[in-house]
Amino acid sequence: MKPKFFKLSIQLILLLHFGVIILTQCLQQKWAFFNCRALRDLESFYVTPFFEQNWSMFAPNPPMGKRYIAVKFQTKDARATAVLDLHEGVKQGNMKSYFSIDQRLTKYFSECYNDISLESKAFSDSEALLKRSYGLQSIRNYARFVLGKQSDFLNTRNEGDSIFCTVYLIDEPLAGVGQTRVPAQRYYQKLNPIFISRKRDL
Amino acid sequence: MTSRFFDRRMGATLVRSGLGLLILKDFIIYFQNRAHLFDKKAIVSYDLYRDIAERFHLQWFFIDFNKEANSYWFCLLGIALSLCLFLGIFKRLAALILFFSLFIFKMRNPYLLDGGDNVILVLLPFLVFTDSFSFFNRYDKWVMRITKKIKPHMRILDKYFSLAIVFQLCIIYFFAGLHKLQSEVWRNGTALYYILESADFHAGFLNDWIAGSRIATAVLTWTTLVFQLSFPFLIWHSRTRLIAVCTGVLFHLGIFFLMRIDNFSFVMLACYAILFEDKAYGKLLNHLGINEMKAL
Repeated sequence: MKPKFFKLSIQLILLLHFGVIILTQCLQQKWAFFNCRALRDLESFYVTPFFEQNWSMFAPNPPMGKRYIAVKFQTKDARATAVLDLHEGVKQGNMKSYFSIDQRLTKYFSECYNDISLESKAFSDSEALLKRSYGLQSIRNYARFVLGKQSDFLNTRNEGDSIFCTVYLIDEPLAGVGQTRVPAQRYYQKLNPIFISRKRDL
Repeated sequence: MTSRFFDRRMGATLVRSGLGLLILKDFIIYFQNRAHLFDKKAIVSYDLYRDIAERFHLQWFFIDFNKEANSYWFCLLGIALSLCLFLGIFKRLAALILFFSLFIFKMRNPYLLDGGDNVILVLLPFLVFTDSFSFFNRYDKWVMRITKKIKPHMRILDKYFSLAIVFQLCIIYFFAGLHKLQSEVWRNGTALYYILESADFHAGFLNDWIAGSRIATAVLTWTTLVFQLSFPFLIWHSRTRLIAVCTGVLFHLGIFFLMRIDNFSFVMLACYAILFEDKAYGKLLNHLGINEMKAL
């Protein structure tokens, strides 16, 4: 191909690419004018899978407090661990060292929290919620690793015991600007216990 | 526009090496933690991975990570290719395969990826077509010799895809700014208070000090908005570009030290290198008393 035509083709390709990117970004701004099927399809099958443009960190609203996931392991005879804050160790690890995987885990917990919170509005039954919510499935997998470290609890259990996990979504909103003396609030949502594993399968 | 406006090989080299190093760091971390990141017992649901592949018709990219060897070789390939990208050896091929590798990692672990990974993924395809220096003169000469016949075409690709990286940066900042404008807390100047005091991003006493001052919080919140929205307009002229870049460097260092967000901060700082033409790097090197680069 002659350089002149080649140059024109490259210009055209880039123009089309950035045109699509800018239009789908306008769609993400929820501007009614851009809300059309063709653009939504382009976003679903071109932009989101291959060139995802999600630039809304801390927007529209930044995190307004502490949201975290806690778990409690138990068996059918009501023996249980304390409520364990999954987030705390990861948060401390993130603050202690740069470039660790803990920063990614912070993001992971936040995504799982949002997914479980959203899906639990439609599904209250724990099995249905587990099927539906990838966030809860992920937390179940994470909880298995945490359970493996609860030796005090595990030592008192028989090999064949089924272990269940109660997941808590906890929200501690920040006091507004200039309201630092307001006592801290804590809200939580308790999910029905989900099966984690038999002891011998850990 | 003069042809010098398009000459950004030095900037492309710095972006490529910077991103290569950051991807290398990521793959080493993935390799160390591969037991928790890939198979069906990993911390992100395997069903989500399957579902993403089906929903977006991406079965071609589906790797069965339940076979331990797959995750092992996947990470090792990532390490080798990111090292190639950093050094500039087979850089175009390395950028292309890394794009697909990171794409597969994103499918497998969407909950673990942050803004920095997003930026890397959208820039890697452009790096496939941009020209840059390697760390080895002999290698550069060899590449020049074997690509002699298609040099005019390569030059066109290099010019436009270097500029595409600049456009992409403008889109990132501008639309990030627009997203923020939709919220009351950003408009009334209190957003930074919530971010700095949030449990996940509270790095130390400096956060409390800034968040404790309404004036500092408001000034920094609005500065963030003005910086992000004006970035695409400031970078095209040398004087305003310097203002945008200096503000951007402070902005990302602030994010790094006050919020401990490392990946995103360094990815964006590495990308700033391409905002300057080769002419500017030549001037800088002359000013520092170093001989001007061979290709400028």
